Amino acid sequence: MNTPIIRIDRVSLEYQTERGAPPALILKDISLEIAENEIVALLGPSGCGKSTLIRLMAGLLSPTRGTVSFRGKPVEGVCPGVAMVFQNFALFPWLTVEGNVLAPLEQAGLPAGETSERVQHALGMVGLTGYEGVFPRELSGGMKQRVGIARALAVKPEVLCMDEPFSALDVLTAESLRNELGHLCADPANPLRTMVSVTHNIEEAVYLARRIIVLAAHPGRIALDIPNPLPYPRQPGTPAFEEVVEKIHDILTTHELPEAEPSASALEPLPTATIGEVLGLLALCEETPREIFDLGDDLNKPFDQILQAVRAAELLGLVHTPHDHVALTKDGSRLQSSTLHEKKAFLAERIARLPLFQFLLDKLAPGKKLDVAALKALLASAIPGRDPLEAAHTLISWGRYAGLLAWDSKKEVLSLPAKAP
Amino acid sequence: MSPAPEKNRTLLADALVICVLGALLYAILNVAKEWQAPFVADTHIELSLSKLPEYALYSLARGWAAMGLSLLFSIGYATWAYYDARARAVLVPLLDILQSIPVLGFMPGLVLALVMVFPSTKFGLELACVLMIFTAQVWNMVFSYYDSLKAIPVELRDLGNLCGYGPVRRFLKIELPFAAQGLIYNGMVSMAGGWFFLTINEAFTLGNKNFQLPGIGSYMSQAIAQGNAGAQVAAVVAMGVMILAVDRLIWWPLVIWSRKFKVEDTASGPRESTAVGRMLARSHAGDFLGAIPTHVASGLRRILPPPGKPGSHPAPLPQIPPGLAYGAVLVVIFAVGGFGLFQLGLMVLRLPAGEWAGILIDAGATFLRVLAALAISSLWTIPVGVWIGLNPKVGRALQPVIQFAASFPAPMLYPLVFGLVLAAGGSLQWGAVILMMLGAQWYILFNVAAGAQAIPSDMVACADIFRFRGLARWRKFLLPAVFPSLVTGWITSAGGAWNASIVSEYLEQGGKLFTATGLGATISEATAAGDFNKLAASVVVMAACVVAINRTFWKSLQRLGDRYCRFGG
Repeated sequence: MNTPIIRIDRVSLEYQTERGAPPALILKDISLEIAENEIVALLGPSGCGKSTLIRLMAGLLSPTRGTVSFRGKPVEGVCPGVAMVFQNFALFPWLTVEGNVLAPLEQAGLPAGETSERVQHALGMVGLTGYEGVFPRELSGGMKQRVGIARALAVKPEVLCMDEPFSALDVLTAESLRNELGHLCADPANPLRTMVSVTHNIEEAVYLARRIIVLAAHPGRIALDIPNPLPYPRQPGTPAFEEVVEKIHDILTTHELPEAEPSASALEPLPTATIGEVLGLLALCEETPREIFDLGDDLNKPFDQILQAVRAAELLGLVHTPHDHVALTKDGSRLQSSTLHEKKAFLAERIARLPLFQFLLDKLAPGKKLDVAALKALLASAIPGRDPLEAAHTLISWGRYAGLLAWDSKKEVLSLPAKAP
Repeated sequence: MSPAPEKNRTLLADALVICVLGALLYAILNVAKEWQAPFVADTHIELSLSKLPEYALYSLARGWAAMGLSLLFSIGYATWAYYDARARAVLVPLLDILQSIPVLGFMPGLVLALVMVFPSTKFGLELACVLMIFTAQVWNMVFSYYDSLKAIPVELRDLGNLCGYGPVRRFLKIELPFAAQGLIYNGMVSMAGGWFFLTINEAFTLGNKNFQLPGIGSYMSQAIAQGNAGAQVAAVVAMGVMILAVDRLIWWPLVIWSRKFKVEDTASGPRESTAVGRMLARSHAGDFLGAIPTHVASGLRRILPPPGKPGSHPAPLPQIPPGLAYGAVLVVIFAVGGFGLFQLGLMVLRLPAGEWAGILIDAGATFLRVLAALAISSLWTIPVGVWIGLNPKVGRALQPVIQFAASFPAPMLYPLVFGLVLAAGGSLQWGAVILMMLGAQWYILFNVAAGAQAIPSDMVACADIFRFRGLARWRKFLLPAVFPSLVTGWITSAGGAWNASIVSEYLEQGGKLFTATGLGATISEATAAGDFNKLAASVVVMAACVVAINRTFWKSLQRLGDRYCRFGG
């Protein structure tokens, strides 16, 4: 039964951020097959290119290298047989609910009798019967996404692609809509069997998918490809369910936060967290070690943002992460109980030791100045594949905090500070 | 690139900045001399190329004088409208009408009055010209400043009150910085709009009198009157160079600089920069210039009363003193305004009934021309605008070209374009439509491009996924998606086209006078003949037409677009 519908063969995607700069590598060397009847979740932190990957599958983007094929034929332009549900619904505000579901069917040139039957059926499946004449602006977010799902189902696609379909919704609405989609997947009356969904929510992936593909960022690549054999309907909170969630947590953490000391030799880009966030993290983990995923839940922040702060703290030797817990190191505890002045001095010394800062400080003799272009060129060569402007922002903000760098935002030049801090 | 030869660069930068300052000083002195020259009604305009830079300088000085006036007026008018609820009820709707009036119609009266007030120098005529340019610049700046005042966050105002800021400090520290971005951007647009009628503002005929001022506009008029094609081309090139120079050397640096006032901008780090900004940053002279605001500020601090103690009772808003004084001011304004309105009414009524029929027919003809100009413009501007908006790279590449084309005063190109129309066997009856388009089409292009750029990328992906192609893509997706911006573009274009009818329906070409049936031609003819009653009547009818169409037709289209075609609603 498993002839692949979509086949992605050694695909890379580069994106030119600005003229002259080396292109940023968004996806690197991805190979993937989606078979008939598979329900796949693409899971990963933001910036890992998961939305880009699903757009490649749908033929909305074409790869820089490699091929995407649909049922054995290379995809040129938009892929036939694919429908999509969008994060921000993408409903036409000038059409009613019925009009929105109907428009793609008319484009497909179906006879009038069949279109109206399909519209009614699709609206019925998502519980929107009776809302035909309503305009999208009169609907809540959850209802709008139901229209988006009905529109995609009505065209009877061979593959349904969903790009973070619940992340623009509030928690409760997302939960209930996810539930309904789960039932829809299990419903024998629904002819749709193949689905690819993008998410950054582990529970969502475990709830919906039979196969979970975890992507890693910078550049986007496949880190893991694991089956999820739990039987439908799945029950979040049950031991079996939590076990799978736990397992993915573990794998993600060991993958994203290797137990070994961060390497001191290579020039690693700084995590995109502010020093303020690092200090906040220390305060949160002061009493007891905290589980990294709980932190995300407590703070209601995306997982990858927490991860950036944890990485930054680890890079500075303030926390360590035994398993997936965040615990303060001796230095971390000492820092927590020191005065503001001491904190600053200590962090300055730690930041100065980072290889990237050493590299930069070498280039900055006293009295010498780097302008924006020079700084960007330097960073582009030191940490290739990263957006040099983004790297510069973090670098300047840390360096300023530590009193290691002076940034003149009027003249836009970087230099050593006039006096030692 | 290595930033090594720091010192050389500074010297070079210094030399450059000092040269520019010197040139500026010389220019100001020169202009002052010209303005004090004795008044001669019929100034001779020389068509030699060597005179052209000097003429360009005079025109530029008028443009900037008008810009300064526009700035002061905008701040004054908008502040009054914002802080005085009673006045606001009149001032804001009045603005809507003022910007619809074809100001060119008031030029004769203005010139005569000012020449009478300053009979011995050219100052009166210069002032009239500056005021005419001013009326083409000022309205969107007033709107911009008023909108900025309304948009100042309550927290910022609270902070000002807590610090005990008086009206002056509040203006300098809160209102002006907050409004700077919008004001500068609109100033740039206004400057371009101000040049539109330059050929007439600097050289116009009233009855049998010629009023001329040295400038690029009058140079062009003279070249047209003499049928000197070479001089016409020279004037067009000079105008182009002037616009480009002002844009690149003054407006762009200002626009970039003003981004530091962006309120939500909290990030510090590399930003966009301009050549002029970098040059100033590198030079000592730049440091000196940069220090001027600090000196001014410390001077002001000495003059102004100290702010109230922090936390003390907030200073009351500067209400214009209630009661008698306020009433007196209002009475004077209403008296003057009412008298003017009454006189205007008398003039209009003095027009024989027979002439009215003619004016109404003319209005109809111009209305049809405006519609035709919009329709033909839309044919190319909508597809191109959408293409530009959906392809940011194309947009970035074309932006300077389009901006230049749009800032160029279209009437300077009329001789060339109408020459082509004549050569193709056309008449001004139809040709005027093309001439009106020359200036008006850009507003549609800009607005459609901006609208297309704002279409969420998910919507575009959605239209791709569900295979909206060809005509259906336009009908069902793109047109509705840009509709609200399209309407805005149409409104602005229509206003521009009505205004342009005054110069495009009445044209001198190669010593011959061409006219087309229309309200614009009637206004120009009445001006040339010195027939003030007819002039007043036709100006009033044109203003009424524009306001009425805005209030009914365009407003309802706008409402439709806002209701059904806004994303994320």
